[in-house]
Amino acid sequence: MNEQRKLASPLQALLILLLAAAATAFFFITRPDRQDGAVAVITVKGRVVKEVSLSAAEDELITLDNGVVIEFTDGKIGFKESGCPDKICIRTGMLSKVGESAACVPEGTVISIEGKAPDIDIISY
Amino acid sequence: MNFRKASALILTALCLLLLLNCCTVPTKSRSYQKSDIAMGSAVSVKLYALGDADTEQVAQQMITKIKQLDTLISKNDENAFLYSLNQKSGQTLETDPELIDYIIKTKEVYALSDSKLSVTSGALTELWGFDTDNFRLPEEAEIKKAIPFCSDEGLTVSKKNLTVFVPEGGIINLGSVGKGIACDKAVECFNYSSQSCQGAVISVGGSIAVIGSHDKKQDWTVGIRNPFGEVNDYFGTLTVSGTGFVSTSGSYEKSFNLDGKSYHHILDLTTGYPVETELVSVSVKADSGLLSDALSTMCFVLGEEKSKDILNRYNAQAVFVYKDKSVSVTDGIKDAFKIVNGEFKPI
Repeated sequence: MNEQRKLASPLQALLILLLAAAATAFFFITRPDRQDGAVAVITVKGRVVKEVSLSAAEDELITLDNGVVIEFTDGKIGFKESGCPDKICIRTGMLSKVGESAACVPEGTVISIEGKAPDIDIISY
Repeated sequence: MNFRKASALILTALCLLLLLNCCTVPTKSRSYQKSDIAMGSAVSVKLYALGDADTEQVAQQMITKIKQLDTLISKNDENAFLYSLNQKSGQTLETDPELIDYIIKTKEVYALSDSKLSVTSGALTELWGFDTDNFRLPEEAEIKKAIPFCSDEGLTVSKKNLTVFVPEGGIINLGSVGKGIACDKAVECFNYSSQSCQGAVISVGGSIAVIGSHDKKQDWTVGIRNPFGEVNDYFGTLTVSGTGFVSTSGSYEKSFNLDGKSYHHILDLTTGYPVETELVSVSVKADSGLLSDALSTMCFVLGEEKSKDILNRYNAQAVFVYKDKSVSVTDGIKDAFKIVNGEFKPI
């Protein structure tokens, strides 16, 4: 039959295009990316124990297994309580920008804000 | 439309999806960050890569290397090579070639300090408790007694025989260069890795190494800490192209107050007391982490004028910050350095 030799009818061509568009959209939606939101990553002795999106709406008090308490309020995060002697971690204050970090060396705990396109790459101190 | 045609369409769509995933991913740089505690400070490494380089593996290797370094150059860890070397002062001992190398290089830099700094500074730093964070103000007699043990004059190191002789009572202390050496180790890891990463940013307790580049911009921006603020507060930025090392020494770090007087951790070994200076911090950019660490300490101790020739000699640049918030930078980074906090004024 003549019809069978045609590669695709206009309707089929349209369907292919639609599916291609859907595939493209699917790709961009499912691609893992942190581009849009800074995330606070909490590590204890090098292991990630929790991640908190700074755009999360709910405030939170996080008590880690080592007794360290971390506060998340209004998109900012920082050490609230720690058993360390010097309290440098708490003095560091609240973090909100990509690239910032706070550490409690005696408790082996680090909070670092990760994400895309920081103003600066790192701070020398 | 029959079933066969429908499946052909779905297949086409799937192929397109696959094609898109294959073509799009490699053009976008990925990053991977890891934080840990090592050498008594916070360590962070961030890797950038195109394609399928295993950034996580490289990051892990860097951290492992840095932790291993602790067991080589730690003065206080009983399992460390340096610890056992110090325990047997007064004898010629064979030791690790890497440790020998660090001692020689550091000694060489500090030889330009008019005896104000040395590798054998342990007798005084231990007296003040700066190595263990148990700060105390020593008696004057204790300080006078410790000063002679802090000279590098009697320290003999042989690269050929791999031996070190520490005069009796002397204590080698690589604390002022340890974080920089850790940065060097991380960079070594990056360079010899089978994974072809594109760039990396490393911080070992605030001593910085940057390597390669990002995806979007070629240069790195390193913030310089505001000496009057906390860790994340920076007053200026330094642009670094490609690979570079930046370290900062400041009187805000490891200090304590007693009877209204403030004592910081950077000692002048000729007096045995913290250096008296109008400087609050010095940041140095150099060709290695060991150098940026050693030179930032030395510039802080010697002051701006005496530092200039030494910086030139090592092809290094510096940012000097004074108590009155005036800031002076060496000619080589005049264009790369920017003040971003209005309270600070360029000289």
